[in-house]
Amino acid sequence: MSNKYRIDNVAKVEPLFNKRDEELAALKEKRASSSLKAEEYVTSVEAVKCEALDGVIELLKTEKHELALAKKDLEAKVKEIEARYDVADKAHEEGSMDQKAYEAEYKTIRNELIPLHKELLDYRKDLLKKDQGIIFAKKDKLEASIKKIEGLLKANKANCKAKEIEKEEFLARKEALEAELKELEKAKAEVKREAVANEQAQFLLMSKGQKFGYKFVRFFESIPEKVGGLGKKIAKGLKKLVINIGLFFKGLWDTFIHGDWKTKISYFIMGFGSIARGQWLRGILFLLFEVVFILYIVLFGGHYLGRLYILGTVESVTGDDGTVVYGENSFNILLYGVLTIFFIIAFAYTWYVNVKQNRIAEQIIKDERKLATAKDDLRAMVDKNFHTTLLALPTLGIIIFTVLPIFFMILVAFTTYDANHNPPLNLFGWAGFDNFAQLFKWTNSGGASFSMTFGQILLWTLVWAFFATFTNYFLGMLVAMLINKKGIKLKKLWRTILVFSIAIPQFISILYVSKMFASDGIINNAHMWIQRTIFKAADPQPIPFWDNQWLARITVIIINIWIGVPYLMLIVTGILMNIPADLYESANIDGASPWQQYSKITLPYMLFITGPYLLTSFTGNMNNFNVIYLLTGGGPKDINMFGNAGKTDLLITWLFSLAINDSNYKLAAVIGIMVFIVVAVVSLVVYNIIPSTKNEEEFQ
Amino acid sequence: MQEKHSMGMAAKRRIANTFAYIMLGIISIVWILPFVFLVFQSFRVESTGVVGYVFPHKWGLANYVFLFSAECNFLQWYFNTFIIALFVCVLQTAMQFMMSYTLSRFRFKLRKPLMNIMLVLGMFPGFLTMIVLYQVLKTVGLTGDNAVPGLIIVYVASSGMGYYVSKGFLDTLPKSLDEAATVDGATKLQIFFKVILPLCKPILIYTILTSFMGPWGDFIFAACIALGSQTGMNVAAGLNSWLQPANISANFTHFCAGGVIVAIPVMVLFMFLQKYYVEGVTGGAVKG
Repeated sequence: MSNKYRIDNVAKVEPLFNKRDEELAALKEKRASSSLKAEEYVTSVEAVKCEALDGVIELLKTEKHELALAKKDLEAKVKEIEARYDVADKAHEEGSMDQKAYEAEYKTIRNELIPLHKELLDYRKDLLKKDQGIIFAKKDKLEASIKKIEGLLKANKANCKAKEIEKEEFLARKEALEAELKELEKAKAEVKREAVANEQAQFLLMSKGQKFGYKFVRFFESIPEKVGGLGKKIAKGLKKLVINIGLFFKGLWDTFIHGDWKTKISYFIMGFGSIARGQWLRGILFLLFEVVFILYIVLFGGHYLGRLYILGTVESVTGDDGTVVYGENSFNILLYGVLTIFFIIAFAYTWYVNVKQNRIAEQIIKDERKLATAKDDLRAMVDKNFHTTLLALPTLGIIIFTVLPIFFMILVAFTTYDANHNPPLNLFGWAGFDNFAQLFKWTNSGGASFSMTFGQILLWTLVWAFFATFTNYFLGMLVAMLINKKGIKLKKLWRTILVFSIAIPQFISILYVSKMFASDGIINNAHMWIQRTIFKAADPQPIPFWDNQWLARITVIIINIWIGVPYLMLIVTGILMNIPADLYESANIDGASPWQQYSKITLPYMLFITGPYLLTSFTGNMNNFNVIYLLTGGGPKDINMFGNAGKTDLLITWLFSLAINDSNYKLAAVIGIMVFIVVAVVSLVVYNIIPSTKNEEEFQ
Repeated sequence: MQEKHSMGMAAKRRIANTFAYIMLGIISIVWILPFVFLVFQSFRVESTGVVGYVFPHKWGLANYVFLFSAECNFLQWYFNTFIIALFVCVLQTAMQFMMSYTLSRFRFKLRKPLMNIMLVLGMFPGFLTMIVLYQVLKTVGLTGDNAVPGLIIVYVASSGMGYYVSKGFLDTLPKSLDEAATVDGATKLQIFFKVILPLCKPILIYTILTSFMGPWGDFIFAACIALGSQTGMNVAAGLNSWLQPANISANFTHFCAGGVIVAIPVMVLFMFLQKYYVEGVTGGAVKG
């Protein structure tokens, strides 16, 4: 405790603290015997604390002063020794000192200086620590003072209520106290800034190891703070949301109550107000939308929405002659149910916009300004609201072809949709969290367990993504540096040869290469020929590239290098050219070896610039369907794994084969959600650690 | 002493460069060889399955003749793919540009949420949507033999989500261009077409090139949407079906010949526009 304030002379500070403790105890007693009001007790306690801290600060200041004096002495000594350099220089110039003696003199001076410099550094560190102690003490004192003032404010209020003082006096005191409080808050903010600056200064004086340790500790120290901050943020957001919802409905209500009859009718017939006020274009569009919506709900969507809770009960019946009388279709109920929900949300929003338009129009008429005509509306589409026009089509496409299907598939994860419950012949129903529960069930009566297989495949997916990303990254960098090496000719040719392999559609090259590695393929044929003719093997066996699980895994990683390096070469080449050349020049002058230049200049620069790219390429590789599917199809298959999974299957290829081959849509959906969670977590963590997450506005 | 030192350096550099040339030679061979093999195999006429040797025992054009004969759907597939690629490269480029231009140039309330939503959506595996899309397209009759328009819709509809690279490019164009044009009284539409678009040639070409190449390589969505139809497939799905265990012994050399024919136009286009491709890839990666 005592060294929170970085005090050297602990003996001196003890009486201070003892005195404080005594006084505090006395106050406590007084309070217990209830001869002291609550507010008065608080102010007195804080006043005592302040006094003690004043003493501490005084003490720290003297200690700092002493340190500064000692440091000054040392600095003078250093200067004295350094002056001998000049003497030696002069003697050397005049020729009264030969080269050898000159160099020797330099060396002795330097040797004398080194320990002094170290000592000086220690002094600087100690001084910073003293400063830090003072800052801490100041901060504590300020906090105590703030509490004291707050206590005084409360006491003031209590006194006023108890009619012990007049209202004017109360107000005057309050004002004065509040002003003081404000000053203190300001001072506290200032001290906080000082603390940060001091910490930074201390950090700069640390050695490399200390810096790393410091960062490491700080990272874990900051976690609870960050989590707490997040919790606070969420709470704040929720509060704001509730308030906004309240305001929203109040706004709707007010608009209805205070609006004219046109506005009131618009609440039921959308666009009525707009048409009545002459804004016929938007009015007609509103009206049209309402008509379409009502027709959709009545004729189509309403039915499906009503069945959504149970997903159908009427089974299909196959007659004796093989004709099928179809019942309800769970798939369609779910799909159109979701579509209807989307439509309702869109309608609700449009309805709200319609009401808002009325409110705005009324305001404009009241202000005697001109309402926007249809012509103005059309012009705004290409000017003021051009972004809405541009975004309309792409967002609509994304909503219908991405958001809706993803939403649907997330729901499928909560149903029994699989080969045995496959519409239109069978129904499926809601299953709650049963499918997710399978992820945590370690045993399974009927064959391999889903959870074990999932664990294995997830592990391999992460291992694969790691190796696929980093082998490509470093080998691509190597190739790029080879091509860009000084003195290498035909740079363009080498580059073109690699780019050539990008130009050929992947499925052709990957499929062909996978056949090259087959047991009857070119590679194995060459291998057997070598075995037979050179090693005289009687019965050579082909290498089981695709049949041995470890060999298959290694082979896919190696072939992936063949696929990925050209891309990396292109990317790295572009960045390499951006590294300032003078960095290398000065490194050359300092005699840095090529390896040092690489590890100290090239690699840090590359990692900094390509941090985000590495992240996307990691998550991209986790979902690298093409390479695995075309090379191995997930094989070699393992009967001990669930759903015909293989040893090189990634989550994404497993998802695919579960859905397409086994029609096990519910588990495929579960895997899809898990893939999403893994990718999101990896992205979030990495994005917060890498340094080069830049602010996009900086570029413009 | 100084001289000796520099001569050592020169010798060292010579050795290093020789080593580099050897490495580059090996790399080039490794990267080119599979394609050379592929071409050789496409001229093999003595058998049609997978074999362990490189040079055909008997050379001929039979595989190519087969591709263009009436008994084979290759021409149909090729035509399908070409039509798809043509539509997709126009529409997808338009969609992506609308999205990236808006996100780069306008500041509106829903901008950040929109970008975040697209980021999150991108984290879901794309296959998840396939089952639903198949059913939806089936109800409107755009699967099987009519897969071509269906595929075009699937490729184009969500392409706004791939806005990152072109937005990265647009972000580098100074905003003062827009401001100057606004001062001159141009509408936002005019600014888009007359000021920004002419400056976007490199990234436009990159987008067109990549979206043109995309459909040539897609064998999953294409096979899924065209399920059960021989004439609705694209070239990738068709060639892929030839390599399934049931067909491979009869069709491997046909696959090789088909691969060559598919690769040639794409490659020619690519080689001509290589510069733009490199710019796009590099810029996209640096922006992250």
